[in-house]
Amino acid sequence: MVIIDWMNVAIALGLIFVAIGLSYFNGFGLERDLAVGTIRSVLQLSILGFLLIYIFRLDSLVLNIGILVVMALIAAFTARNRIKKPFPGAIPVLWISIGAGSFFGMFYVTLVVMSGPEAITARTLIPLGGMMIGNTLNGISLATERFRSELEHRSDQVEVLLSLGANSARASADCARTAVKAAMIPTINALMVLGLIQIPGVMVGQVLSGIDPMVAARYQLVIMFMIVGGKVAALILGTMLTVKRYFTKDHQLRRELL
Amino acid sequence: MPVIYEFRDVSYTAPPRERGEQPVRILSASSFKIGEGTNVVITGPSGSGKSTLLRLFNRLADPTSGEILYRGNNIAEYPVQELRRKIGWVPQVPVRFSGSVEDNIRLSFKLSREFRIEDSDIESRMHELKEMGLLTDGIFKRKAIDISVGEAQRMNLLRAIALTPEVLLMDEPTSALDPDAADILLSQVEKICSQENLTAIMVSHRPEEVMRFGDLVLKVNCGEVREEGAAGG
Repeated sequence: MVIIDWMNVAIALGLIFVAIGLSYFNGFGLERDLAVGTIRSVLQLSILGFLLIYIFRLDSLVLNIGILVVMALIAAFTARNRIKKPFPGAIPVLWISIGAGSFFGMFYVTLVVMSGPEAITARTLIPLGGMMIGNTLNGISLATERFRSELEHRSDQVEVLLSLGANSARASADCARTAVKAAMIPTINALMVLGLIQIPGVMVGQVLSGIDPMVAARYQLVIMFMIVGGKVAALILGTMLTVKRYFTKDHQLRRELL
Repeated sequence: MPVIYEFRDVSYTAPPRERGEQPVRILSASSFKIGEGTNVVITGPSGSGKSTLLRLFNRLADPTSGEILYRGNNIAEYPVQELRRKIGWVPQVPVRFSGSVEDNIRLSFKLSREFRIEDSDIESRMHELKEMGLLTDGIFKRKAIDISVGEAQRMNLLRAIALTPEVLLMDEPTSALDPDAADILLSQVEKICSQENLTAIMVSHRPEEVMRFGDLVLKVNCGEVREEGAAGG
């Protein structure tokens, strides 16, 4: 088993210095972002690690869920900032869909896969929820942005369908399908190459900390399946809720938002 | 002649597209009536609000103030999907969905579960549409993406009238066509409107179309709508 202490972490920072140096000499202009990103990640992860000690010790279900709800809210703000032209009322839509999709994936894994309420501890919920929310955040910002651009490019098509008596959901169904498919591509690609050209973080961490690779593979598979299921649920819910923002209740396309 | 549409002091202000932008007033306090079976042309300079005015007829947009009556009833109180099924819509650039030309036309019948149509009624309407002679049997079988713009616009026309509407709205339907194809389409529109007893409302900026088609001409300029009465034709 390989032990990584703070000294090892400090030595690993050398790689960041190399990246900053290369950026400087090649004129990429990434030095500041790399430095800020590194400092933030060290601080955030240290605080997280510190807090997790107490959260694991307390292990209150209410507190755990509260933390996950706040994480989903932060994810909603981050997702909205990634959308080129955010729609009004984006935060509740993103929050609900990121939250619902993540809770679905996470509780399926803890209650059904790990079978039983004893699996609902801070030690499982917080790390699984964090992974789930992070992955859903990327997907949902991709999907909502793509949905808007599809509506923009196909507005004539959508209005022909509305004019024939279709409701907003039916008129924008093709746009929603394209958006969900596009947002799932990175996850599907990751599934395809899992173990071939990519060994994901969970497995690397476990193998490095001395766990049997077969056990690590099983954990990794469960986590990948959780991400896929939760993300699809979040994307479908997210696009369903987004449709309501781009159309009026009388099934009129709000062209000014495109 | 019974009145099919009545606009009472209708104004429309476009909502701002970007934060901080001012809303733009496009139509102000416009009032006019349209008799059933009339061929109406909406004309005016580019950007004057012709297309916006057309969109108010089937509630693709709603007026900011004033009211629009359809057969004496305020259209805002009509169930919107039911209203739209009585009003055909032909867009400026022909819209093609995947599948054959026939699939594109049949789409009209299966868009909403609330308005289920019997299979036998669909088949007899499809037969009538084919008999109109706008497109040959061969074209009906071809993929919609493979046909010419003129054929695609005729396909759009057939799709718009598939549900036997009472009104046909057309947003510059000939603008994407060359003069010959435009002339053919206009003749076919005239024939269909008289055969199907339609009230047709068409946006056009071509003076010859305005002269030929318009029993009633609505001229939009600087937000004002002026009736110009019978133009000829």
